[in-house]
Amino acid sequence: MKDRADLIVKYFDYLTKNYNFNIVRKEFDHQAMGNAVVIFSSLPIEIEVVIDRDQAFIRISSKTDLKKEWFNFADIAKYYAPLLPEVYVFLDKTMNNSWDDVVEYQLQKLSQILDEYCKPILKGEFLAQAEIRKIEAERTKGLFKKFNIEG
Amino acid sequence: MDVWDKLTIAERWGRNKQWLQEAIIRGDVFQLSSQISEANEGSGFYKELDYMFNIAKYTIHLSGKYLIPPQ
Repeated sequence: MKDRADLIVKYFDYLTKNYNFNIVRKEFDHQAMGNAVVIFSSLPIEIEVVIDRDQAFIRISSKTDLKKEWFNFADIAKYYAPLLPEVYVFLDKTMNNSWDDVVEYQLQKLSQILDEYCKPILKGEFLAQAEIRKIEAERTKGLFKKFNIEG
Repeated sequence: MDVWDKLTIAERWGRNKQWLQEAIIRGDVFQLSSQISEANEGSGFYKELDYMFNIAKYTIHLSGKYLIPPQ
C-alpha cells in the first residue's frame, strides 16, 4: 500500500506551490486501513483532505470563523459548479486495479475540481459561506428523510 | 491488513455489517465520530448510518452524537 498522505500531497501540490498554503498536519496509518489526513493551511483558509477506508474527502474551513466549522466539499462544489455531477465517486477494487489506483483516481478528480472551480477560496476569498450553508441544510434535510429520522 | 486490502467494497461491507450486528445484538450505544451531515451518499459512513436507522431501527440522541438502540 502506498503512503496515502504522500499521495494527497502529490495531487494537491498546487496548494503549496501556487496559493501560499503550508502543510500543518500529515498523517498516514497503514495499520488503520490505510487512513490518512493532510491539512493545508493558508492565512485565511484550511483545507483538510482525508482518506477514510480508501474513500477520499475534502473539508474546508475559514479561519475567520471562530467556531471553525468545516464545509463539506460536496456543498462547496455545488455552489461554485452547480452543473457538475456529484464530486464524490466511490469506485470499487476489481481484478484489474488496486485500492491504491482507486484512491489515486479520487484524489486526482477532487484535486482537479478544487483547482478548476474553487479558485476564489484558494485565493482566500471565501465569501459565499451563507449560501453554501443553505446548500448543506438542504442536503442534510434529504439525509434525515432517507434515514427516517427527525432533524 | 493485507486481507482487508484484497476485499471489494461489498466484501468489506459484509465484514463491517457482521461487526455492527454483533454490537446491535448487545444493545450497544454508538458514538458518532462525525456529524450526520457529513455522510456523503455512497460512502462507508452513509452506508453504516443507513443500516443503523433503516434496518436496525436505531434513533439519534438529541445531542446528535449517539445512536440509541430501539426500546
